Amino acid sequence: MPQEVPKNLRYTTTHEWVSVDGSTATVGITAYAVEQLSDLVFIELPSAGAGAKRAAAFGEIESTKTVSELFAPVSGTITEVNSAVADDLDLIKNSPYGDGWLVRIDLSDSTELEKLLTAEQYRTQIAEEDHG
Amino acid sequence: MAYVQHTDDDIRAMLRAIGVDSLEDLFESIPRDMRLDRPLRVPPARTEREILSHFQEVASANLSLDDVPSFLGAGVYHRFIPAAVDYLASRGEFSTAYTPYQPEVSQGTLQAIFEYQTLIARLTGMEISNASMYEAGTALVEATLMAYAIHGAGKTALISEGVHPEYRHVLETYFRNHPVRVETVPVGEDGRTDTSALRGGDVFAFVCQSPSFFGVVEDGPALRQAADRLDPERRPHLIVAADPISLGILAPPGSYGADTVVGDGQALGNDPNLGGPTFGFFATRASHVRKIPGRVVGETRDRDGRRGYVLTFQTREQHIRRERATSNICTNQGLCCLRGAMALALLGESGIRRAAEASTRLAHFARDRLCELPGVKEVFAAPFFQEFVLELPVPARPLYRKLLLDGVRGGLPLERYFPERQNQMMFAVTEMTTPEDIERLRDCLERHLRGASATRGSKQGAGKRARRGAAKKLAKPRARKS
Amino acid sequence: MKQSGVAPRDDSPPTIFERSRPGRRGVEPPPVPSGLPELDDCLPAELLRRDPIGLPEVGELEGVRHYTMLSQRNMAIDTNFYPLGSCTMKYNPRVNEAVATLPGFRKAHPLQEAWEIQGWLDVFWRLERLLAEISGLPHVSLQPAAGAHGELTALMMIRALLEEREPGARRVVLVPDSAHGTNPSSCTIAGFSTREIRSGKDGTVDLEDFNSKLGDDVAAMMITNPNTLGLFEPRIGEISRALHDAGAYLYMDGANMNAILGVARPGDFGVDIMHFNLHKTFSTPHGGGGPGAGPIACVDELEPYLPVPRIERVAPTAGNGASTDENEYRLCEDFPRSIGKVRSYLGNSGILLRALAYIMAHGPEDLRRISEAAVLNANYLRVRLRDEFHLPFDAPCMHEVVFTARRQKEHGVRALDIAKRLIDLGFHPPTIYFPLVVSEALMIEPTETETLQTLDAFCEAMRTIAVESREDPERLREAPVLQPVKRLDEVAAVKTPILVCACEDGRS
Repeated sequence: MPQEVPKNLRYTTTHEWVSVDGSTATVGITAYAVEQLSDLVFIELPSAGAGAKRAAAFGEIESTKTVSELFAPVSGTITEVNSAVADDLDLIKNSPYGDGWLVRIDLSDSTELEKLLTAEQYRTQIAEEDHG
Repeated sequence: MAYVQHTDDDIRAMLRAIGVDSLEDLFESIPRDMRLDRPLRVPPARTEREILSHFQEVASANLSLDDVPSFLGAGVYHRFIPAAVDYLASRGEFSTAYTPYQPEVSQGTLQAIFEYQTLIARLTGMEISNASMYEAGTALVEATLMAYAIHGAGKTALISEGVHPEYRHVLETYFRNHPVRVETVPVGEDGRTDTSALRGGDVFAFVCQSPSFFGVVEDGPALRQAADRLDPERRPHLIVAADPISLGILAPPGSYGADTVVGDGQALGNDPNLGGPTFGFFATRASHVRKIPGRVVGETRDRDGRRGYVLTFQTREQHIRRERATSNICTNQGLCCLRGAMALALLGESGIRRAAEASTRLAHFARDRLCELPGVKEVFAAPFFQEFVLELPVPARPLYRKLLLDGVRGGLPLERYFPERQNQMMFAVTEMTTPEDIERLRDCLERHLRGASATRGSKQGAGKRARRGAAKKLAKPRARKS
Repeated sequence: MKQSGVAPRDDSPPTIFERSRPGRRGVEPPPVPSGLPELDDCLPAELLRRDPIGLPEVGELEGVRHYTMLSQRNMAIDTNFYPLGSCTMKYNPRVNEAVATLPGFRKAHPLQEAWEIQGWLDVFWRLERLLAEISGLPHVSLQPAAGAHGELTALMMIRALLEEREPGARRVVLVPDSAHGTNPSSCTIAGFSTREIRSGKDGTVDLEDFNSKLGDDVAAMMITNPNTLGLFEPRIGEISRALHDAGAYLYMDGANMNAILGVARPGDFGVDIMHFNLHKTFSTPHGGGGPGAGPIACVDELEPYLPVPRIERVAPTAGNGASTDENEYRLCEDFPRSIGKVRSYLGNSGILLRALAYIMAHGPEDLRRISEAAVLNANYLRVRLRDEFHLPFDAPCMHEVVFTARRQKEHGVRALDIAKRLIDLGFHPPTIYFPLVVSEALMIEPTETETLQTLDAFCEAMRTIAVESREDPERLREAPVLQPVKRLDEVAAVKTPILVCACEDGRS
């Protein structure tokens, strides 16, 4: 079943999404990632104020049989953390692009955004993974 | 073909199905120059009967704890094991199963481990337990590694000199290539850890043993307070290695604030086995569940709401988290901890208490009787459980040999681990020791100490000759009643 | 089935705690003799436990029934075909148990003087020599307690050597993406970081990727050979030479030695150090997760770093070797460059003894026949099942074969569903979802001890499943339905953990 890949967002090859508002990037994981992880049981997120470095891990998300690192799509400072998801992982499952967002990052280098995938590119990538 | 069941016809049919001509063709993917071009140089195959008789002969070259009354302990003990443990643990359904990764066909192993975790948690006074480690030394290392990960700040682990020298050696080996610094805290004159000697501002763990290697029961609350004094804000972890039988009567480390309790489970239902396999137990606070090493079993429900058990919190483990796993342990000591659970269940509340009480009362009786001998002194004044150290007027190691030739195995000559303690011997007494054993030890000791004062400095050569023939010459003094 | 004792809330069997009744006595340890000091005179009250421990109080019969009942809720080699890939679930010969339970062995204490345990030391020495010959690596330590422990020990040795030669320079270990998880986690504990090497299209190490990642910061490479896809690494010679030229070492994970016993020796194909899994290759019982043993073998250059104590034969006896003179063997600690001890005492001796008995039952021809039959059986399954199940690497395999559930997934059936359905058809499932480089992996290792009839019956079951995946996929997703429990809620087990039993004395 094809997963929702909103056109207005940018993506990483490691299944994070980014939405940018001024210098603030909101980050979450894609519906495809949620489906692959299936039964989410635990998430570990940083505290606000922590630094984020592009392609470096900023947290972890677990299902019963897998653990995946969460990679920062962009560098900067983490300004806000969605603590609600830690208590209720269903937020991520039911609304990965909405209430299930994870962190907000104050961008330090907006040119990094150009390195991210478009919705089209990301859709192609997950289609390949499904048949790999 | 020892245990291969194929007939020649089977092999021909299978080769045909595969489409190759010979068994050798199956190894085509191994480059020819890497294949062994000769038979292995190993002895010819033996029949079952030959194997048994060979090993019966080899086994007879060992003296065992059954041969003579024995006072050797120091972490491995001659203990009472209910006959049912051997019988039940040798069932193939337990012994020939793998790690219970498929819970629907492993409920037996899983429930047994779940019960084991409960038994260990209750015995140690802790909230949770894992499904076992290799043995006490590595369990202690894992507890220290876990404390380091959780504490997050300190770099120094303090370890009491009262911790078994073997475990300390293992700890040093592991931490040789590690940012962690290990510092030893001496024991005081009374044998207890000298908590006044604790120093250091970046301590993340204080590692102790109670009863200690020397048999001494530590003042638990004092250990906790000493650790806290070092850093009241970020309290260092108190890690306590304990003897499981002693916990039948002693206050469990959980009651005085230990963060992690480890120990060797040999005393629970496992033969000495030359020190292995036994199992290490590992119990800690529930809040550490995501950092605990090794396998953990949890209770849950199946689709119909029926109670069942699964391996849980598996994302901590190496097969999932790989280089970021909490530990590299995979295979643990499943069957040994199953024996431990069986022993605890079959002996039960009263049995474990009785074994512990008998051990300590017999040990005190032994201490009293031996200290009546001239020149024999107790080394440590602090309360002890089942082991005590005596200062003798002669070197302990040659004496050990003489006692054994007389039909009683003395205690451990401490020189083995502490060269400066040449004249000290550490005696272990368990519920398997009888008052007659103790009297026999006393008599032999008395004779040799008297002899020693008469012929002090006698010939070394005689001792060597005695050793040479010992295993054959050793008369079995009497049938052991146990 | 309703059990005696207290009924839990459903038809699941009681725990040992639920069987307990206050005052019931189990097996009694020896009584406390009279005439001893009172407990109060031995230990001050503040050191004593105040409250009951909470151990069960059950009679011996109740206890025996409890554990017998539990045993019947297990699948084991003794009860079913158990083709669990990578685990080598072969028959565990009973004579080895008879040997290991001889009192002269099991009632020996590790701190007895060496002259008291010459029989044991003879066992150690002989096993060391046999493993050296089998591996082609001359020096052996039997101390590590399990495979992962052997890995760690070997990495510590490599690190100790390198720290002497070029301190701080080499902190990276290369690990293929198909490796067991223990490999990278052992690296971390030994103070190394890992660099992953890709598998190529044929399932073996991608040489180009390997070369690009081999730098002067590399201490070693850990390789499993045959690898976890059941394939022999054909370029192992080149890999070894490249590592040696770069000043690094080649470690081999010996989990799959069952495929090459008497056929090829790691020492001959360029390995510097390796571990054995005695509980796999040499058939000591897995025990529901242990104990195992993970001896290591190495080349001369690494020998000074082996753990202590080491066994020395001081007075070799000529002839049949049956004589065990009291002074024939001794334990020696005097190796200043040794890494030290990786566990207390000498090793998992009881396991070492079983493995020695197993090797002695074989001899040179039969050791080779183990590998031949193991490889024969795996290839037989490969050709019999490849029409129904996707083979990601369609080449002759060694001792195990990896299929995938790709074709079944089109019908919504996953590897997990196939595994669960196999259970109801009377077989233990293969390893699933490993190695990680193959999606929906089904890793099947039949071992050498199974009959052709068993293999055929297994193929029949697998074919039934293939048909059901097309015609009745729901049946697979529901499976198993014939076991003591159905699929269990693993999410709940993490979200609301119950890790110890809360009940007391039979009352929940």
